[in-house]
Amino acid sequence: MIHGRLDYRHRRRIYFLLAGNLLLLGLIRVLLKEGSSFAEVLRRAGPDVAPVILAGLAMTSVIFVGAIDLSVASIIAVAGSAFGVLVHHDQPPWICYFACLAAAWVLSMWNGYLIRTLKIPAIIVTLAGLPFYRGLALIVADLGIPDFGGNISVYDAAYHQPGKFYAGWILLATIIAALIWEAFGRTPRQWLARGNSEEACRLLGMKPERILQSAFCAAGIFLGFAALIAVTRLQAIEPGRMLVGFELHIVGAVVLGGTNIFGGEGSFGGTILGAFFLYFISQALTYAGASAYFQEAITGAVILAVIGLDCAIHRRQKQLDELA
Amino acid sequence: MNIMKLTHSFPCLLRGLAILGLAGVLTGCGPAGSGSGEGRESIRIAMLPKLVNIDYFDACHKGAKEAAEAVGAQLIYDGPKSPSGAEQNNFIETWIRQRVDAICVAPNQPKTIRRFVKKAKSHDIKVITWDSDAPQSGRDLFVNQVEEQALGQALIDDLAQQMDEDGKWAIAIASLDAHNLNAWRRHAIARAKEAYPEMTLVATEITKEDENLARQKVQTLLNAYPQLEGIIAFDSNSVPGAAEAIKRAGKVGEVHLTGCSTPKKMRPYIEDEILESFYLWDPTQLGGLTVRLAYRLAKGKPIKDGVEIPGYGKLNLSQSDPTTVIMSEPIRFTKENIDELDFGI
Repeated sequence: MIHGRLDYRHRRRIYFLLAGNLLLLGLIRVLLKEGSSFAEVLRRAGPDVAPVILAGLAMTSVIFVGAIDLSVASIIAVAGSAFGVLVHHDQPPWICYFACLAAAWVLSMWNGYLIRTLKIPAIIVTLAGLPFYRGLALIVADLGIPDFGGNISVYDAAYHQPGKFYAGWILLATIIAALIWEAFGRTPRQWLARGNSEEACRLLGMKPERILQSAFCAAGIFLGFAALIAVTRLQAIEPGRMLVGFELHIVGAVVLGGTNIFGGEGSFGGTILGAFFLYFISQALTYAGASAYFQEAITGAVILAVIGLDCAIHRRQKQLDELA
Repeated sequence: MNIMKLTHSFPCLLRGLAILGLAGVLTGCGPAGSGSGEGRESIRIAMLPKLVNIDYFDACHKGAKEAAEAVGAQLIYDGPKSPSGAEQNNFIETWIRQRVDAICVAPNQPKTIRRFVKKAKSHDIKVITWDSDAPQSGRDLFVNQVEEQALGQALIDDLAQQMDEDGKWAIAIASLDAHNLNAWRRHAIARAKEAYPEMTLVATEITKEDENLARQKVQTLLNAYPQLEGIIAFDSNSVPGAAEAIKRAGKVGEVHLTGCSTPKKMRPYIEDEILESFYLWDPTQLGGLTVRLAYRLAKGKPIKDGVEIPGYGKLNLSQSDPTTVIMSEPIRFTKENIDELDFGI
C-alpha cells in the first residue's frame, strides 16, 4: 500500500537503506568477539534509537506539509522541565508523564498556530522557538524548584519506567500505528499534497491552513512520546542543555530516509530506516574499534556515499529509461 | 487603547528607539560602569564558564559572586548555552569593548582564544584561564582546580587497584578538545603504560557531555569487549552514563568504574555500590579563588607562591609552570563520605 504512493526514486532509497541496515548488522555480527552477544545488539537497538525515530516521525510530518520544526529539542527540554518539576514536588508518575506529553503537544500546536496565523515561514518561527523554548524550560524549572541549580535529579525508579523499561514497546506501537496511518489514512496524503502545492490544495477545495495544523498536531503527539522516553531515562534532567544539537541529528535521519526537505515527498518508513542506519554506523565503528578521532568523519563519509551512490544509480536508471 | 493607533505609532516608536540607541553608541553613553577602565573605583571582572545552566558552573558562579562581594569588585558572569568556542569568543570580544579590568575564561577550544587574549592584553586587560587552560594563548594566569598530573594518576591508580592491576580498560570522555579532560586522560594513559603494564587500554569513546549517549556508548563497549574490567569516565555526564550501562548490563562488580562527576548525579549509583569512588574538587572554591586572583592581578599585586589569599589560604603554584595556581588535591568521594562532602551540586 505504501508503495502505491511512493515514486520509484523514493522506493529505491528505502530498499537501499534496508540493504544498508542489513549490511551494517552483518558487519557488526562479523566484528563480534567471543563472549559478545548479537542478540544484545538487536535487543538494544529499538530502545536506544527510540527518541530519534519518534522525533523523526514528528519532523517528517511537518516536512511533509512543506514546513520544518527546528525547535524539537527545546520543546523536549520544556517537557523535561515540566516532568522534573512535578517529580520534585512528589506528584504521582502518571501525572508527570501526562505533563511531559501535554507540554510537547501544546508547544508543537502553538508552532503550527503561529505559522498558520502569522504567515511567517516555519523555519523562522521555529528558529526563534529554539532559544525561546530553551529559555522557557529554564524559567519553568527556576519557578518550580526553589534554588534550582541547573539540573533536576530524578532518583526514584518509579519515574523511569517509560524510558528505561518500555521504550522499545512504545516505539513499536507508535511505528505500527504510524505506518498503518500512512498507508491507509487520508491525512498524510493531504500533508504531502500541501507540501507539493498549497495553491493547488486551495483550488481543490482543501484547507491548507487546517492541513498544516493537523501535521503539527500529529507531530506534537510523536514528539510527546520522544520527550517521555528521553527524559525518563536520565538521572538528572538539565533543561539548559539536554539534547543540544538533537534537531540536526533528526533532520539528518529524515533526509537520509529520502524525505524531500522542501515537502511533498517522503515516508515515515524512510525516516525509521534512516535513524537506524545512523545508529548502526556508530555501533559498527565501536565494534570495529575505530579511533574516536575518525568516527565522526567516517559517519559523514558513509552517509555521503550512500546518498551519492543512490543518486548515481537513479541517474543511470533514468538515462536507460529515456533510451528505452 | 486603540489597537490601530498603536499599530501606526509602533514603527515610529521603533525608529525613535533606534536613533536613541545609535546616539548612545556614537557618544559612548551606556549603562553605568560600561565606560573605560580608567577613572573607575570598582574593578570589573568578567567571568566566562564553558557553558551556563549546569550545576557545576552554577556552583563556580556562586563562589565567584561571594568573592566579588567580599573584595568589592563588580562581577559579570555569562557564557554560551552549549560548549562552543566560537560563542565564547563573542563574549570575550564584547568584554574587551567594554574595557573590563579582567577576563576569566574556561576555554572550550583553547587554540581559538589566542587572538582575543592578545587583543585584551593590548587594552591592558588581565586574562585568566580557569577550570581548563589555554597554555599557548599568552594568558596571565591559570587557576587549576587540581594538578592535571595528580588527578590523571589518581584516577588510573584507583582503577588499577580495583582491577588488581590487570585487564582491559576503556575511556569515556566528553570531547577530545577540552584541555583539562584531555590532560587528565593523557596523564592517566602515560601512568598506565609506565606503572601497570598488564592493563590494556582497548577503546576511547566520545560522549558529547550527554548522559544518555554515554550510557549507550558504554553499553556497546561492554558488549564489544566482554573481557572489559575497567572504565575511567572523565566528565560529569559520562560517569553516571557509564554507571547506568554497567547496571543495565548486569556487570556490577565485574566492571569497575571511576571518574570525575558531581555528588548529586552519582549519589544513587554510589549508594547502590555500582562504583566505589569518583573524584571532584570544590567548584565554589574554584570560582571564588579565580575572582580573588583576577582582582589581585587587576590591582597590580603579585601572584607568588605562599601568598595568603583570604578565605582560601596560601597559594600553591605549579612547579612546572609558575603562571599556574593549583587550588587543591583531588577529593575522592565514596559511599562513606559522600554526605559529608556534598558541595550542593
